Amino acid sequence: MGELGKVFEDSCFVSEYTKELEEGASNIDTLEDLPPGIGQYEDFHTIDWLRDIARDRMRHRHIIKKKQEGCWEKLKSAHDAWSGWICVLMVGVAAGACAGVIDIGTTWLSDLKEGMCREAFWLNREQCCWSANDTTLDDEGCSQWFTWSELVGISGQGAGAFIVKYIFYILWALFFTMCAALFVRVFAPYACGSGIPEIKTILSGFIIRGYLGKWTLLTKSLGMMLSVAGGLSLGKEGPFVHLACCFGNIFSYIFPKYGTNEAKKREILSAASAAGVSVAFGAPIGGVLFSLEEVSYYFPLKTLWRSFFCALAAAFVLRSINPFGNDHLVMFYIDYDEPWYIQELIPFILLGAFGGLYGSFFIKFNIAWCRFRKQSRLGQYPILEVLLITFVTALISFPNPYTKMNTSEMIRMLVSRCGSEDTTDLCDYQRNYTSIDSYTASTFIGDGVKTALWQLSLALIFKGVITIFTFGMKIPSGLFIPSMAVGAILGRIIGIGMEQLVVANREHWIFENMCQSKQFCTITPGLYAMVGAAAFLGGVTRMTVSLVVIMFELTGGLQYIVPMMAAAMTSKWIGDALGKEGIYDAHIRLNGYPYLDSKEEFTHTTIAADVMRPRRNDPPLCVITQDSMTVEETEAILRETEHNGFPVVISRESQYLVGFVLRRDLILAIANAMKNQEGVVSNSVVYFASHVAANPNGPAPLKLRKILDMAPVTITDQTPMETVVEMFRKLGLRQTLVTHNGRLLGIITKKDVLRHIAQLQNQDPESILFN
Amino acid sequence: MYIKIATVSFLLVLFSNNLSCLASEQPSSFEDVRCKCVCPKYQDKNNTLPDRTVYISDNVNPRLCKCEYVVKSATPELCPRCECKYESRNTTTIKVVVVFVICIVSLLFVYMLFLLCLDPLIAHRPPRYEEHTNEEVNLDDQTVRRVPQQPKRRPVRQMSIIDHVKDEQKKWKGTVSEQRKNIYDRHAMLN
Repeated sequence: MGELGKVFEDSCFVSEYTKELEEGASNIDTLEDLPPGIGQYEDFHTIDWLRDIARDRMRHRHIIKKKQEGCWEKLKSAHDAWSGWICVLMVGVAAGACAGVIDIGTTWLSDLKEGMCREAFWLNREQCCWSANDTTLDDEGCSQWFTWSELVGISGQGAGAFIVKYIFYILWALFFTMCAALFVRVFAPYACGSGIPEIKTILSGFIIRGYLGKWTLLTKSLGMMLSVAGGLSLGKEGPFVHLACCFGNIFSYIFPKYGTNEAKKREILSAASAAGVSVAFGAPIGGVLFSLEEVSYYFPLKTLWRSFFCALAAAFVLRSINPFGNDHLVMFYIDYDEPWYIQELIPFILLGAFGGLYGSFFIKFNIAWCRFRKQSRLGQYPILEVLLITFVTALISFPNPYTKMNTSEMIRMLVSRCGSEDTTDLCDYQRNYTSIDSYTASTFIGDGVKTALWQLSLALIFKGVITIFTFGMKIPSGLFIPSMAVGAILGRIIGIGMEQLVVANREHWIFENMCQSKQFCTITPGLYAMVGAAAFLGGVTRMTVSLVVIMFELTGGLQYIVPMMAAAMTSKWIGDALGKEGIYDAHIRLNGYPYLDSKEEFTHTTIAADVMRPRRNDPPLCVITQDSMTVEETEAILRETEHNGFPVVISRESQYLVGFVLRRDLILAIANAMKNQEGVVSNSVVYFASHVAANPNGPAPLKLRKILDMAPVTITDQTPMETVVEMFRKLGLRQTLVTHNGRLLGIITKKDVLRHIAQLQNQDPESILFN
Repeated sequence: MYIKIATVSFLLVLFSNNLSCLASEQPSSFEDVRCKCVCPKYQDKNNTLPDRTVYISDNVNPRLCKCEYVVKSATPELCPRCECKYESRNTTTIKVVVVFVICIVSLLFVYMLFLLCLDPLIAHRPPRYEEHTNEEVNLDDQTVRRVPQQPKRRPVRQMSIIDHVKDEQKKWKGTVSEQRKNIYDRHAMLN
C-alpha cells in the first residue's frame, strides 16, 4: 500500500488525462449538485482505496485553490489541516476515560462476587482495605470488608460459611454473565467476541455497518465489565481495541474529511486501535506497534505519528484517572531488577517452545469448537451456553485460590517477587530471618509453596482447557489475559523448579556464576512467569515485536527484553511450524471475511484470464455504452443483474473502454435526475461522453460523466496472477478490468481473487461470504 | 437518552455525596492518602519475630512518612530496613464511576426488560384500540383547527419529536434484528 500515493501521482500528473481527470474528479467532490450518498458504500462491500484517496486529493486541491480567496477560507484550510490531529486527540481522550471507567467498574464488580465494603459500597476489596492498618492480606481482607457469609450472618471459617460463599460466588457469576449475554443479544449483537478479526477486516477495506456504532460501544463496554466480573476465563484487553475503534468511527463523523471518505476514515481507525492497546495494557508504544504489526493494512508514516499521538493522549488520560491507585498505568508493574544469567536462556527458550505448542493446540481446538458451534444445534442456544460455561467455571474456580481471584490479579502475583509483605503460600520459603538480605536470596521451598505448586498445576490445566470453550461465545471476550495467565502459571512453576535446582546444586560448575556466595543465589521465579506470559501470548497471536514491547511496558522490566525476545521468537517459530496462522487470521478464515492477507505469498502460475469473469461458457460481460443507451435500458440492466459496477464502453461492437461506474452511484444519480432535473424521462439518452449530441426534438439528455471513474485500473488477460494479487494488496483495488488487444474482455474483483486463492489452497471457494 | 442518563447519574451522585457527608461524622477509615511501610521480618537480639511486616498509617504529613512515626514497635535495627511510601488515591472518582456504572447497567436492564416483555404486548394491540387512536387524532385535528395559531404549534412539535424518536427506535430495532439474524440464526459472522 505504500506505493499507493506514488502511483496515483504518476497517473494523475504524468498522463495526458490530467486535465480531464481533474475536472471530472473535482466535480465529484466539490460541486453540490450531486445527490448525497455518491461515493459511499453499501453494507458488506469492499472499498476502493484508489478512488477514495483520489477523491480526498481532489478535495484537498480544491481547498488549497480557494485558500487565496480570503481569511475565512484560510481558516477553513487550517481547520482541514489539523482536523486529523484533533480527531485522534478526541479519540485518545475518550478511549482513556472509557478505559478508566471500565477498569474501576470491573474490579469493583468482580470483588462483589465475594463480598462488600459495608461502609463504602463503591470500593473494591483492595481499596476498602487501602488505609486500614489491620490488613491481614490473606483472602479475607480487613475488618471493613465483609464477605457474603458475614453479611448473611454466618461468621467464622466453618463449612456453613464456605458453602454460603460458594453459592453467592456462583450466583453472582451467573447473574453477571447472563446480563452480558442478554445485553449483547438485545441491544447490539455485534458487540460479542473480541472484535480484532473484524477490525482487521474492516481496516483492510471492508464495510460492516453498525459494527463501530454507538450501541455497540455502550453494550461492549458494559458487557466487558460484566463478563470479566463473572469470572470467566477471558480478558477485556482485546475488546478495548474494538471500543477505541468505535470512538474513532463516531468522532470521524464530526470531520467530514474523514466521515465521508472510507479510506481516510481507516487512518483514524488505525490510530484508534493503537489507543485501544495503549489503554488496555498501559503500553503506548506497544499499542502503536500492535496497530502496525497486527491490525492495520494501510499504515503510512502520517498514520504512525497520529497513532503515537493518539496512544499518548489515551495513556495520559488513563494515568490521570489512576484506576489502580498505584500511580502506574498497569496492574502488574514489577519493581525488581534482579540480574539474569546466560544459562537461564535455556528454560526461557523452553518456555517459548511450550508457548508455541500451546498456541497451535489452542488455535486448532478453538477453531474446531467454534466450527462445531456454528454448524450444530449448540449455536441455537447462545445464552444457555454462556450460562453453562459460567456455571462450570465458577464451580471449579472457587475452591482453588488461584482461579478464584481475578485473572489480572493472579498474573500480578505470579510475576512479582516475594517481598517481605507477602504472606501467601507462594512465598512460603524456608527463610532465615537473622540475615538482612533474606528476601533477595533464593532458598528451599516450604510447605506453602508445595501446596501452591499443586494448586497452580490444577489452575494451569483448567485455564488452558476452559479458555478454548470460552473464547468465541456470544459475549464480549478477549484472549490476551487468559493466554498470558496460562503462560505465567507455567512460567512460575518452571521458575520455582529452576530455583530449586540451582539452590540444591549451588556448588556445581554449571550454576557457579549464578551464586555470589554459598548462601546467596538469585533466581527470580517472577521473571519466568513474565517470560512465560509473553511466550504463550506470542504462540496464540503470533506477534513478535509489539508483543515484546507490550510486555516490557506492561511490567516495566526494561532489562528483561532479551529473555522475552528469545521466548517470543521461539514460540513464533514453533507455532508457525505447527500451524500457519495466528488466532485472528484463523477466525477471519472461519468466518470467511474477505481479507486479503498481505503476509502470505502467492506462488502459483495462473494468469488473469483464468480468474476473470465471465468464464468461457458464461454470457458476455454486462457493459453500458457511453452515449447510446436510454434511461429505461440502463434501469433494465440494473434490475436484471446484481453486479456492483459496470464498465462503460464506446460501443458494444468495439468494446473500447471509457471508464467504470458503480451500481450504487448509478442508481442514486438516475433517481435524483428523474426527480429534480427537468425533461429527463425514461427514454432520455444517458451520456457518459464529454460531447453530447444536439437533439432538439428528443427528450433532454442525462449527463452522468461526473459519476464515471475515468481511470479504472486495467490489465491484460496474460498478466500473471502473482502481479494481480500484488496489485490488489498494495493498491487496495476493488476491481480491475481485463483487456485483450485493447478491447474490454472481463473483470476481476477482490472476491474473485479471494475465491481463487481459496481454491488453490483446496478450500471451498464459496466460503468467502461477502461481496 | 444520554442526557437523561447523565442527569439521573448526576442526581444520584449528589445524593450519595450527601449520604457520605452524613456518614463521615463518624471516624471513617477511607482516606485518600496513606503512608505504607514494609519492614522485613527480622529477628533481633531479644529473639522476638514480629508478627507483621506491613504498617499503614493514614492522615499523615508526606514529610512524616517515615518508619519512626508509622511503625509503633520500631526498633533502631528494624527501621533502616523498612521502606516507607507515601501514596494517594481518589475515592471520589471511584465513587462517581461506580455509581455511574450501576446507573447505566440498571437503566439498560430495565429498558431490556421493557423491550423483552412489554414491547411485544404493545405491538400486538387489539385492532379496536387502534381505531380509537385514529379517532383521537381526528378529534385532535379539529381542536387544533378551532384554537388560534399560537398554542397550536406546541403539540405538533411535541408529536413530531415523539414521532422522530419512534422512527429512530424503529430504525434501530430493524438494524439490531438484522444483526441478530446474521449472528444468531445464519451464523454468518462473529463465530
